[in-house]
Amino acid sequence: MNIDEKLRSGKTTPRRPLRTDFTSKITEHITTHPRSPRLSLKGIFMKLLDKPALAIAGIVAAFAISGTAYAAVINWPHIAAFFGGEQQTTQGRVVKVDTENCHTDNAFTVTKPKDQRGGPRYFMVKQNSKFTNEQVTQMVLGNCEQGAQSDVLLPQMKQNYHGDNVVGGYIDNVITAISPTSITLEADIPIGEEITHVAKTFNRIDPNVLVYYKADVLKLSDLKIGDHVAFAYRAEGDALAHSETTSPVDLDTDEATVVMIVKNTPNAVKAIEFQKYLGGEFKEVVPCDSNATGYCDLEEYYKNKQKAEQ
Amino acid sequence: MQTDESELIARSIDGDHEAYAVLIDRYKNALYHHCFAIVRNEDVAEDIAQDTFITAYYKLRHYNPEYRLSTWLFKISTNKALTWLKKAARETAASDELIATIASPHPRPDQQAETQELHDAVAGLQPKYRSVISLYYWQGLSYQEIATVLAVPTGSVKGWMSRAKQLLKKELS
Repeated sequence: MNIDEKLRSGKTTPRRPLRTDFTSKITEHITTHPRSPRLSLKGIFMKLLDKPALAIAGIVAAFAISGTAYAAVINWPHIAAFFGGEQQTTQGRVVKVDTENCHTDNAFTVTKPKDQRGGPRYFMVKQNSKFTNEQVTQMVLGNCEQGAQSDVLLPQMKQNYHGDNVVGGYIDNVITAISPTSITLEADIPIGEEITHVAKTFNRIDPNVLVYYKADVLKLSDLKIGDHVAFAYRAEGDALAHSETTSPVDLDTDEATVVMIVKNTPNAVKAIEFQKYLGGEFKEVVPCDSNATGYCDLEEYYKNKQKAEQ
Repeated sequence: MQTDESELIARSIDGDHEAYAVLIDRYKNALYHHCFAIVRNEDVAEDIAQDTFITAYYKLRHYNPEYRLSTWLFKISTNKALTWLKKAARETAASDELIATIASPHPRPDQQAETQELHDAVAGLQPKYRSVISLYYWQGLSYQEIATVLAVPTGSVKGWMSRAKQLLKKELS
């Protein structure tokens, strides 16, 4: 018998079958640990960048040869959001916000046309909510600025770090200590149903860390205590193996090297705050005929539309 | 007739745990056996297989349907198994007994000497070679699929396979 035949017929088998509760334990876990609520303000740094793709091998190689991160000159779009009126319905008040150059990189891009930039957006605000029309407009503006961050910065990130197992940290953290080799970030993060305070010190900062504010390239030394930032890190060990499920609370910073820091715009910071604390009081909707109020839940609407098209 | 896999995936993404349970039942044994081939310990292999399904559930939105679901699951589980081995190697002092189990699995009473010899030889290979052997011979993946699982070029997979077989031949001669 040659080696191929021996291997084919010699499958290694465990000495016992799987436990009978194998499947139920998993379903129990995913029931008690539901997926994180998908913030409509989800920014670029909630993403896990894909593993290396051959298509960008040339760019990665160029990075490896130069040995320095490549901070490209990028353009920041003119972004605007204006209150466009309100309408009372049986479920609450619908606030219309007109936008310019607003490319939201939010949860709905799964189903919403990705090239939609600008035009009206609608929000259903619950009855008796204290969320004002001005706040809704402000929230949309910040959301649009986050989308712009995504548009202009994600390609930089991919260009420089694609293949480096880069993982996004929470989207809005406050710097409470900073030095050339270390940064301490604190944030109140929605985890499950609760807001949890998380403080982490990263003692590993990539020497070529990319730092941005809008489209401006900054230095690490430009950042100061009190700045609000999003960040991304190169993960290894458990931080990489469990990147999707590791809570920010449990992240072992010895397994994380900070590779990118983005100072958030004041509007983006406000938008995240609104969403975090008042997110339950409103939802994004679209005009539709199938609902008595004249508006359908945005996510549901596009999901159904996609199903109908299949 | 099996429910269409893409429908089960879509339902799982929508939070239908029953649909996800069907997918788990479909692939759990293959994953368990594959993990066992790498880590050589039943309890660890079962934990990794379970962890794989949990991770896959949270990442399901990112699954690329161009690949078979099984290939994606093998990719996650192989990464986890290899990571576990690296970690175990670093923590030998804390788990001498476990490491010993990995290094020399207890022979099954019903196992023929020749098969046992083969298993010992495979167990002595580098983890990446064990992964390639398991995926190709025991899980039926193609070289191209293994390349996807291990995130390496197909040429590397072929090279590793060739080297693994050379080492096995030498060990078994």
